[in-house]
Amino acid sequence: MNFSSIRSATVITVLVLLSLPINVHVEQETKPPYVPNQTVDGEPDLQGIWQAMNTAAWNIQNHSARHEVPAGQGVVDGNEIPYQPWAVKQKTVNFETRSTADPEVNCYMPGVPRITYMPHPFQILQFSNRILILYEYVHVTRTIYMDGSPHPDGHIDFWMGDSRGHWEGNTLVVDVIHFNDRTWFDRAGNFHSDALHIVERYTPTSPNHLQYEVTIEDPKVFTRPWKMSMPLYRRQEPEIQLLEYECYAYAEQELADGK
Amino acid sequence: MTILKSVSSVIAVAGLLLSWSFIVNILTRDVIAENFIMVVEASTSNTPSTSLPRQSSRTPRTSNGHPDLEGFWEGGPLNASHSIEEGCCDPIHARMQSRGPERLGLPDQLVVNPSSGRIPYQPWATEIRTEHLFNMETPTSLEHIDPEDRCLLLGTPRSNYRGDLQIRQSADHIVILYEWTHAYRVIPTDGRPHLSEGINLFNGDSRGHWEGDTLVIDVTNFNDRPWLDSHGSFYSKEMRVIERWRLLDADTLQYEATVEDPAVFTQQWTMAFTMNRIKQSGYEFFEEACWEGVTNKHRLAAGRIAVDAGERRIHTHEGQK
Repeated sequence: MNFSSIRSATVITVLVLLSLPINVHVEQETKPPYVPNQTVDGEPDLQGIWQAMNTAAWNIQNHSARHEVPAGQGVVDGNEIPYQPWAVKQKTVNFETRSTADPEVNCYMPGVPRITYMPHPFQILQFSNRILILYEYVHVTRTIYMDGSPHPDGHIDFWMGDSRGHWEGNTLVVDVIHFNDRTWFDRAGNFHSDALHIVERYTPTSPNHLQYEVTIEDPKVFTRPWKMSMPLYRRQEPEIQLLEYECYAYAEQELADGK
Repeated sequence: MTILKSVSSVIAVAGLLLSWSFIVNILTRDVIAENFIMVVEASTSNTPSTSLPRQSSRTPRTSNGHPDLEGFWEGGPLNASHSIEEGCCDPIHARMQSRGPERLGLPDQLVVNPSSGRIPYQPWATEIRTEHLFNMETPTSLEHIDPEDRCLLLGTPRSNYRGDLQIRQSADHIVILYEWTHAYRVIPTDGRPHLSEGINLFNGDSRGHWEGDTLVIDVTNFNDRPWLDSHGSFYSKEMRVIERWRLLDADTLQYEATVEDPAVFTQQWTMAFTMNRIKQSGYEFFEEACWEGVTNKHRLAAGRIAVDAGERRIHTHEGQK
C-alpha cells in the first residue's frame, strides 16, 4: 500500500467517523420517540387490552414446526439461554417429559413472564399508587404497587411473584421476586428456580403497541442474566373485553384424578 | 402483619389438607374455606345489616363526583357462604374452628325478600337441591362437592360473601378483586351493551351505572356451574342479577342483590347485607392459589365407603342451636 492510498483510507475513515454521529442525530430528529397520553394522575397511559402475537408460548427460542406447534423466531436476545451445565440436562428432561411435566398441563398459574405471552388477552388498568394487570388465562391477577413500597420480606413462594414498579420516563419498570420453582417459561421446558428475579419494562411505542422487555436473573440456574423482548399489540375489536379461560374447570375430572 | 396473617392461613390450609380429621370429618364441607375467613376476620366483628339509609355528608367522592368505594372490604356476613338461608352450622363444626356457639347461624337474615328468608324454588328445583344436600354428605363424584371446594370461580353474588374484596374505580370502570382464588370482575360503567347471547361465564357479564349515589350492576350471561352456597343452592343460565352497592358511611357498604331466574325460582328474590372497611394501613391481598393446592380424592374415597355401607344421609343443621 502506498502513501497516497493510506492517506485516502485515513480520510475516508475520518469522514465515516465524523458522519456517524450526524446520521444518528438526523435519525433522532426525524423520528421522535412516541409520547403516550396521560392518565388523570399524569402517568403515561398504558391502559387497555393487550396480547402478544408470537410463538413464545410454545418455545421462547428459535424453533421449527412440529405437530400443533407453529415454527417461530425466538424472543430471547441472541437466542441463547445461558444455562449452567446441570440445568442444560434438566431442560432436556423437561422437554422430553413436557406432555405431563409442563405446569400448564395442570392449569396452574403460569408465572411471569410466561403469562404475558400466553395466547390470551390481558388488561392493564391504572389507579393511584397501583397498576392492575388482569389476565384472561385462569383469572390470574397481578397488582403492581407503585407507591415506592419495598418487596415484603421473604422468601415467599408465590406463583406470580411480588411486583413493585416505578416509571422511567414513559417506561413502566416492574421488579418481581418471590417466585416458587414450579413454573416454566414455555411449553419447551425452559425453566428457573425460586431464586428468579425479573425486571420487566413496558414502553409505549405507538397508541397500539407496547414494547415488552424482560431481564431474567437466576444464579441457581443461569450463568448470567439474559433478556427477552417482544411487541405487545392492542386488541382492536371495538367491543373487546376479557372473557374467562377457566382451564381446570373444563377438564376437572381428569386433572383431579392426578392429584 | 399481612404476610403473617397470610402465611398462617396457608399453614392452616395445608395442615387441614393433610390432616386425618379432614378426611374423617367429611360432614364439614367448608373446613378450608372457613378457616381462611376465621384468620382474616380475627379482630373484627360484623355490623348488623340494616336496610335503612344512613347517608352521611362525609361520603367520600371521586373527582367525577360519584361515591368513592375504593379500598378493601370484608366480604358479607360470617357463615353466609355455607348457607344463605341458615348460616352455619353445628357445635362440632364451630369447635373445630375455635368458635363459640354464638357464631352459629347468621348474624342477620340474609334473604330479605321473601320474608321467609328462604330461596323460592320451584318444586322440581327443591328436589334437585335436596339431592345436593344428600350428595354433599357422602360425595361419590366431583359434582357432588361444593364448587367452592373445587376452586371454581364462585360466580355473582356468592363472591361477595366469601372472603375479602377490593374495589378500584376509574372514570369508566369499576374493578372488584376477590382474595379467594384471586378472582376479579371488570365492570364497565361507560354504557356499553352486554355481551351477546352464546357466551356464558362463571362470573357473568357485568355492566354498571350510577343511580344517584348507588352503583347498580346488571349481571347476565351466566353459566350454571357455580352454587350460591355450600348447601347446593343453584340457578340456571337464565339467571339475571341486579346488584346495588351504596355507601352508608365512609366505612360501611350496603350490598343488595336481586336474583331473577324464571327457570328455577317462583319469583324474584333479594339478599342484603353490609360490608365493613378493612382499615389496616398498607393492607395487601395474598396470592390465594386454590387450585394449585387442592385435592378432593380423599373426600370422594370416604364418600364411596359411606355409600357402600348404606350410610347415605342428608346434610342438616339439626344440632344447631
